[in-house]
Amino acid sequence: MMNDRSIEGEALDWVIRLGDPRFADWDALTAWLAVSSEHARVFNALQMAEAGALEYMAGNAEGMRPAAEPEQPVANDNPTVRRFWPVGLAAGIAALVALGVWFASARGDAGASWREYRTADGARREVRLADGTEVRMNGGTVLRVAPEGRSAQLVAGEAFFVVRHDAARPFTVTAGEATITDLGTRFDVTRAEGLVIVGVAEGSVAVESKGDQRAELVAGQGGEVSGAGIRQFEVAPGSVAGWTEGRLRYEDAPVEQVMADVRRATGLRLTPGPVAGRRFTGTIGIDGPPEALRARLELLLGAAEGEGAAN
Amino acid sequence: MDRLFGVTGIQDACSGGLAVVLLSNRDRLRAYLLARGAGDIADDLLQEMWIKASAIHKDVEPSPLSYLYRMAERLLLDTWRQGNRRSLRDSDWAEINDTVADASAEHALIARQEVGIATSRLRALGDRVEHVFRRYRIDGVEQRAIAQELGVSLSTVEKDLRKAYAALLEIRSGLDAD
Repeated sequence: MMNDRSIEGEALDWVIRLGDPRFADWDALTAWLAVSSEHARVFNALQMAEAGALEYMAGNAEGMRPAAEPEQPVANDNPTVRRFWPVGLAAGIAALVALGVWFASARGDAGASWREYRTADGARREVRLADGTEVRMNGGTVLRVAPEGRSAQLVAGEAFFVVRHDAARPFTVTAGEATITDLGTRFDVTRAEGLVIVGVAEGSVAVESKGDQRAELVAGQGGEVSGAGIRQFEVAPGSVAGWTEGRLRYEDAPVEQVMADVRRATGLRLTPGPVAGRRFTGTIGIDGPPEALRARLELLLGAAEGEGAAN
Repeated sequence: MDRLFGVTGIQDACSGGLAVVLLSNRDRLRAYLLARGAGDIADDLLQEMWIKASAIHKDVEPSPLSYLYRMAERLLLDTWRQGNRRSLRDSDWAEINDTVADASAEHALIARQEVGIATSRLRALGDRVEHVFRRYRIDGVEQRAIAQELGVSLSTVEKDLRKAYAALLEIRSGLDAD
């Protein structure tokens, strides 16, 4: 009996430690498991039971969402540093949560820092998170990933998220004032000046902004988050994150937006020139040599090379 | 400025991909799977990991090696929980098949029967214990940070977690005095 309890106690210790996404003591765990088959049996039983319990709790977890962490004091291009306060928790707990995470990072604890990824205009980068979620970064993008997973921050630019669904731990993206929560999806987020644009290719997301603004978007819907609130619009699911496949598709979009998107995706800088303020409908292929693209754009938009006016 | 830069871990997966890390650490991962009791399916799981890892040429979190261990865990647990028939070598099929099926059936049964009771036991331990568990396991917050959030000692958080897990997993926490 005493032996059973101590093995159980040790197994419990290991299962708890494994609950931390930052766990790295794999060799020691292997050694403990290898001591006897009883160790492995008890450990496996606990892990299986834990997995079942988490699924059960997920079913009762409406209203419980991961808190959005405040921005870390990291040097970046964004001139405005904002604090993100969690929505839906009592104000007292919310303050403690934000303070607690700030303490953890201020101590310089490597395990508690958000990891940052950047791309220059025209570059791409893909990041795969521990939970299996894929993030495809467009050019001109700054992305931060939470150390414990299931949360990311889009500081600038555009990224396409293919989220591994986990009902117990919904995936959230914060961008400016907006918080986007995965409800099982593939979705694109763009953060431009004063504006956050979300497009859903598959599944659904919940978009929240300050002032209790909330919208639930399903595949084929997009949302534009600004000071005026959340404006919903229709979008062809196949055209969401078209940049990942070398296509930018527009319907009655301002030429300035097209220019900004082309710059982000290819690094090519254009000025609207005579077509400023006009609107564009059509599809632009952005792969291939830049000279060909420039020529195509001059033809389609009447654009000329130079500093882009808007971004 | 036309350069890609970012903060990555010491083991940079960009150069050779995840598959290289898997190759270098195959023995460790195999030892882990065997120690867990994977038995003859260990090599099949590694094969499956090799195929998956070869397709990944991106940065992974938190580190390539931890990512691979988690992948191994996920595959192993999926095998047991769903009772999937893995592709096994023909000569071992009949014998291994039953073992895997029995193990997964037994585990699934345990999960279904006891989960509802276990979670109400968790709730009976009080708001703080349940809150600590959710912050740790669902929100992924470090134990130290939870302690600071609540203004309690780290030891209190550790004990709360032990009580929470013990309640969920229906074993004694080893803290009978509390």
